Amino acid sequence: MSIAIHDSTREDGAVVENGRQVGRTLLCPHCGGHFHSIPGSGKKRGWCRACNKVLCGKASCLKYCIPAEGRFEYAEARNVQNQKVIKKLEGRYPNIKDLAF
Amino acid sequence: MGVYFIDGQDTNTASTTVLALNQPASALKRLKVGYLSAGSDVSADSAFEAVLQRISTAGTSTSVTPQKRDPADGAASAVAGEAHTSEPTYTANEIMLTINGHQRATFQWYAAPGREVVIPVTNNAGVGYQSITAASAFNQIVGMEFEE
Ligand SMILES: [Zn+2]
Ligand SMILES: [Zn+2]
Repeated sequence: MSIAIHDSTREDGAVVENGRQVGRTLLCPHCGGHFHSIPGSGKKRGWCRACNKVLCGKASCLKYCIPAEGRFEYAEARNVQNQKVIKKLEGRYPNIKDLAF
Repeated sequence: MGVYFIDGQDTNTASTTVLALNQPASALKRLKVGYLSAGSDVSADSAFEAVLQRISTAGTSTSVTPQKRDPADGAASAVAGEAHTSEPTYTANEIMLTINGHQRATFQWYAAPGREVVIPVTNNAGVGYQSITAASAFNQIVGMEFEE
């Protein structure tokens, strides 16, 4: 068994073409999006030491460690104007407002 | 909790949304997209690129009724649409998946259980399959399976 130098032990999604698996995707812990992970591609996407996961490489995902679940909760709290939760999340993640979707 | 399937089609000219999935005007549940397919019913040679991107406001489209996988489930709360006459509003950079394929090879993507693309309980939020480019535009057929 070789020692993996990339995050090759996981597969968050499978890419299939004409019935055959041709690739895999990983889930970015910050934006909640999938990206194609190609071992040996040489792409530098970044690693979050807090989440202990490889990132998708998007600027906003590299800039802040705000887990996707926090962003979903923030969007949901804003949807119903739950000020208590909005304040709590803004306190924990000061930049969460920049990432609102 | 139920699993639903939607499908839509459109000519994949750049910036065309082939299929969109949205929360209703008063969102009730999280939506989780776990499967996506993109193919064509026309045999010709064209490579294509598309993205699955977050939507903040739905566009104007022909509505698609989500089909339940389990007949015992109720109707989906989510809404879906194809054949857009006005495009949805996409959130910049919030690309959840890129799709690079060829017209002759059906692209399929399966999320591992618990690793789906989540749409929070936010009114009108959603995801759309939007064409970025096609060597020569063709009728693209897109399917998505989601849980709510
Ligand atoms: Zn990301
Ligand atoms: Zn992180």
